[in-house]
Amino acid sequence: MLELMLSRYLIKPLFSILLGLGAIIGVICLLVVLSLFQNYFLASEKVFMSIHPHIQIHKEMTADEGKKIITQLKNAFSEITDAEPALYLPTRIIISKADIVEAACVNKQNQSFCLDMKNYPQDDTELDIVVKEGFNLSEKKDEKVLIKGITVTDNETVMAIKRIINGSSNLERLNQTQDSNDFVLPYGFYMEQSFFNEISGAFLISFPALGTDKLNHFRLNGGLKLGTKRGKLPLIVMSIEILQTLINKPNQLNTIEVKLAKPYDSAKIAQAIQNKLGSEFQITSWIEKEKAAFAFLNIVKFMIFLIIFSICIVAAISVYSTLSLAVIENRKKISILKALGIKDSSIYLIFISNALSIGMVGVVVGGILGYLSSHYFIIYFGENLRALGIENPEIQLTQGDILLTASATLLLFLITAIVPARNAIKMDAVDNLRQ
Amino acid sequence: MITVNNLNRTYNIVEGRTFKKQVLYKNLNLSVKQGEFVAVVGPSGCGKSTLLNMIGMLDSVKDRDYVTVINETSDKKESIPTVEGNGQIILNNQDVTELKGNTKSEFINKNIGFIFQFHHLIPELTALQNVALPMRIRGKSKKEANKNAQQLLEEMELGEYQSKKPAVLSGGEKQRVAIARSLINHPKILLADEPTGSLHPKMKQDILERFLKLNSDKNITILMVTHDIDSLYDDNKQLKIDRLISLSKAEEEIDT
Repeated sequence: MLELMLSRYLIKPLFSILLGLGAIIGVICLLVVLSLFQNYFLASEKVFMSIHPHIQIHKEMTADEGKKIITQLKNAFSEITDAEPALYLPTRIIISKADIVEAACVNKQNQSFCLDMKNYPQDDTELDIVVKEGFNLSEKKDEKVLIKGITVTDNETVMAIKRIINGSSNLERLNQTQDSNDFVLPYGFYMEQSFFNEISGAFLISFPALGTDKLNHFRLNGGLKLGTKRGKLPLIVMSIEILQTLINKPNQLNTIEVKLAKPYDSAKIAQAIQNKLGSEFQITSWIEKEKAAFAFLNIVKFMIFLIIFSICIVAAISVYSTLSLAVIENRKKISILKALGIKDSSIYLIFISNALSIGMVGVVVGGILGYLSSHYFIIYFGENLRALGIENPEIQLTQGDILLTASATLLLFLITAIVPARNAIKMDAVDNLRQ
Repeated sequence: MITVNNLNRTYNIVEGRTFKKQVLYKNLNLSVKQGEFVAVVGPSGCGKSTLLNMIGMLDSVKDRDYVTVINETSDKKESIPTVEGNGQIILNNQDVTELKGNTKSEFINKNIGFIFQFHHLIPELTALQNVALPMRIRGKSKKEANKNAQQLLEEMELGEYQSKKPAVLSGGEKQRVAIARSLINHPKILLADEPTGSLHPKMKQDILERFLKLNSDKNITILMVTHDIDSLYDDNKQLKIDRLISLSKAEEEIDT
């Protein structure tokens, strides 16, 4: 192609190399930033979807009323894949870590007077010794928390809670109160990991706000990894039946959790449900619940866009000035070509083909290096990313991202080549040939 | 073949608060027939090269390069062309004054061969590539263009220089490469702007002889601008070419 051949002679190879390097660096930065943002976005999205159902419907109701509403909704909205009753309870609790220790009671009538077995005189056999398990309480907290009593069916819940569990993901344990030998089991529960920094162990919990000081024995099934996400209240998840029993409100619920096939349609469907059920129900979608977080993500996205836009502007200025310089330096040669009858479209092609070739090199080489850099970045800064709440970071570049980056780069090079090419066409050949 | 009708060209030279009108042509008419070899002569600044550039469509016949000036009488801003002009140029029965864009480029490429005083070869290209260039621009294949270019270089006795770049060629050799380049598309018109101006006297004669041969052998219409009137006459004081057109410098200068 003549235009490609001429572009090699008209634009200095050094300029092309420098522009190519600029394009490569630009594409690398673009892909690394995109990959990191995607990681952060997906990590946040994962947490949001794990602690909220796609839609939650609030109203104080009985179990039978709840069942009716669930049936009504499932019949009316094909988008709903699951809907279950739940009981959400923001309340004050007193919670203590309760390490189980073996203790001996020296008097059968007064079992509360127990001593640690190790300290008890072994040779005194006349005393009636009863050995029992006891709790060594530590780290007592008296705080308001949000308890979510949820339904577990076939080891699944409406909220995608499994994705953020650090510990046992056997959700059925939440429903179990007896083992296979009919021995009493402590209640199972999950707790926001940052609350106690524990993923297992025994806890004693009382609910003084509900008028009872009774200590209930719980077993922590796992921690909930929320990353940097902080709710207004620490989150505790347990079975709805157990929560109903504990607060002495059997068959009482206040929430219906809804799962959708397309989570991002939740706002639209929440509105439709609101219209159907009426204003006595308070209906919110997970997106609305995390409005602030999504607003923050949008700000981050905007900042990234600004950074990318700045890179683009710098790249555009570089391409423009390089090609403009090439036009000025080669005005005599361009005028000779005009005197030989070169078409305007060919002059456009000379500059555009050069810019596009550089852009193409940038896209291909930058794309490969960008992918590898993202990989390296994730390995090298893995710890820092995990500290930001990005668990298991991985390269999050879709074909769409790569296609978008490639198109944006090529479009940028194309646009910035047009003006210098136009200047080349408009230049006064006679003046240039006289010089 | 070449007809110039009522060609006018005036320069509006803006100097501070005034501008000066300098008339270059006033109703210039000329005609060159098919196969004629015509030389345009005249003093420096009389517009010989400008005429050639206008005929070769490198320069526009119409008004151009507008500037804004303040009319002192009305105290209003006015836009005036620094180059004012009108008229008609017909090449090969085609009014070229109205041609624009790709149509104009195609017309130049197919019908006109340009030869400049300073050869204007592209330094990065070899002699062969330079000669083949107009044919490549026309859309012919590299193979075909190179074959024709090679043939022309041999006709110009430059067969062994085809892979050399212009920097290593002498002035005469460069000009012969430029002539070969102007001929590759078999143009009907050859426009030569002082083609012997920068050459050694021995080479001047050689180049002129080549033009005469092209004119007689290939019946190409040649319009040549030159300062060197003597070389156009033979030893018997007979004009070697068909005609001489003499341009005089316009006297008219109007202060506005």
